[in-house]
Amino acid sequence: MPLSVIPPSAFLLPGAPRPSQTVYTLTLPTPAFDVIPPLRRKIKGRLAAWGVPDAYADNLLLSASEIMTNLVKHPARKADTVQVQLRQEEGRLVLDVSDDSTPFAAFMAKCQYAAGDRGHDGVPEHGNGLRCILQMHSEVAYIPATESDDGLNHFIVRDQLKIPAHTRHAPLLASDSMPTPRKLVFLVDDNPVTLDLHKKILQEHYTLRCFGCAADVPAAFAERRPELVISDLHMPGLDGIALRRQLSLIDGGDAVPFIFLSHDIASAHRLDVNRLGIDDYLCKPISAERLLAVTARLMQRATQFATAVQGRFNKQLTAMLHPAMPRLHAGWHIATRSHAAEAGGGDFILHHKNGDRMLAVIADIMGHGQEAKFFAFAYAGYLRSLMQLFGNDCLPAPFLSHVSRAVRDDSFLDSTMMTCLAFELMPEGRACVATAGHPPPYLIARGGGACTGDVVDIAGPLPGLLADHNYQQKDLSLRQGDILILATDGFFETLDREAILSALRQAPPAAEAAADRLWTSYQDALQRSLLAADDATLIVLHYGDEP
Amino acid sequence: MSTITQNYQLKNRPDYSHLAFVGDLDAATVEAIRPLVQAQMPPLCRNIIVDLGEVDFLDSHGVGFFASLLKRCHRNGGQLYIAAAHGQPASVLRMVGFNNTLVVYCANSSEAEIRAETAA
Repeated sequence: MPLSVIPPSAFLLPGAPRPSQTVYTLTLPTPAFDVIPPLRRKIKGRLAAWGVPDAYADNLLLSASEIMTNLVKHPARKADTVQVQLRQEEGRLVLDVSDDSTPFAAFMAKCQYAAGDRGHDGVPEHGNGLRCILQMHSEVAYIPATESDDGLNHFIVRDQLKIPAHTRHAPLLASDSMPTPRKLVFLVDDNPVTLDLHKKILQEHYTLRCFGCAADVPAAFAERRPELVISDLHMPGLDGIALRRQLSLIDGGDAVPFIFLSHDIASAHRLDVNRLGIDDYLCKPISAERLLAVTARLMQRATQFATAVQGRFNKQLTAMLHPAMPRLHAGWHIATRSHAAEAGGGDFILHHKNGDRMLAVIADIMGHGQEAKFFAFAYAGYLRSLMQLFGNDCLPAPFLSHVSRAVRDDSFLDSTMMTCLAFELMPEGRACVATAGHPPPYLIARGGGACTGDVVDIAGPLPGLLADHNYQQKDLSLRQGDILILATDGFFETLDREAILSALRQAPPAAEAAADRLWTSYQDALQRSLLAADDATLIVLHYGDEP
Repeated sequence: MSTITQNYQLKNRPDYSHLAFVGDLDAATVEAIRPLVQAQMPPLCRNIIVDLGEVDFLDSHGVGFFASLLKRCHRNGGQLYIAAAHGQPASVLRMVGFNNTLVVYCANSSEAEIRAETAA
């Protein structure tokens, strides 16, 4: 096995310039075994959202698990905090686990041992973790705290795999990688000759299930719903009309288009077509062209109907999740901007006023599309009820602790991932923030014409990740003209500190104007990077008088 | 602890022991079940079937545990059979060098049982 440990200097370390970087960070307290399985689930979710292929994701999950296990078992002094970071550096994926425990001694020697030792029976009982890490990744480095810029130990793995640009922000959709499945049609006719004839006409375009006996259809229908049923009218036993009625009793059966094919056109005309929910009736014998045309028309109509219903549902959910904040509160001017990705999205903002104090939450549901939007809706309802319960006398950190316990106790909510940041706005420019896996805000000072500032130093684990975790919060005191910027990671992934400061230098000292400048810069940066627009939400909080 | 013990099922047969795992086989699980399995398995057990059909994730501690079981089998003149390894666990076993000169891979548990009985 080649030993592939590379010098630390070959890595872009935290603090160094990081071009086109996307970062996902999980902060954990003292590592313990029970933290590792949920950590794997969270990382797996993020890698899936980034469209990382399964085989490569498996390697990263194993490495993260091995590194964390080492931190549980081996350091003489345990870590107080561990940060697990996934970064995309110029399209390559990096796993960086940093901690403040006793450094891992003689790393190179251990690597040599792991690479060379084969044990008693070819596979040793110990040292396989490092052996796996060395074998799975093209570049591995360990930077002890004594040699790193930030005083933390860093275990870093990086691979040459280049993630396609179009998947960096969005998941691979089924339609990107899979051919569209052929639509399923049920053909029902007691005459085998007719059944075979219609099968030959349709089989090139559709997946067919043929039934000589109508009584067999309901069970097959319940098992897998077809896109269309084409049935004879007169059949022994269960006839076409009775079949249609039976299928209507099955949940959703009414929504499947149904065509009668019959020699007896007179009987067909006497049918109460509307009451039976029949989409068409055709006279035998029928030409191949006509059968194909009618089938295609009904399929298209059904698709249009489904799309319209889905679109209306999506629009209603989007409207309900649209960020709404008061524009002025206790001397704070507030502006929001948001973008929901085309197929859906999972950002939302909630707030709860109590006199001159206001508690608010900005949240981001991992994932994309309808599912993320649905979970955002569910989460928003859950958080809204928690705000009603605790909002009046609850600060951001205890509120997040409530949220985390609720998520951990609820298997439905725990089945997806959410990051959120809670903040409280008070008079005289006082604010307080706490985060649960959410990007920290930026605090920008604009006094005396200058524009300086940086990210607020606050971190916390994802809601539900740790049992009974007590979140920390940061008190802030803003002066007249200062700005606090909060956003979901879709925004901060695209605009870094320099870009934020540059945008604000050109903006008049007002929340709406600052939000306009930042949002324009964000959209320009997205366009330049050619990345797909992800969900993003921005809140600009400007303290003080505005022109 | 009760949930951890539900992560495996051990059946001791006359010619072999059948050890089936469920879920993630990582450091936490192995630390919990290793002493239990060692205590419940006959000391002179020659053949062990490890059934990974229900295992979704395997780490180096799981591999280390298998290595200790392999040693036990070899010491008693027997063999370790790995049944139904798939996906990530199968990749890890290949990566660390658990190849068929050391253990016998079987497509499923019943195949492993026939082989273990025949070998005994």
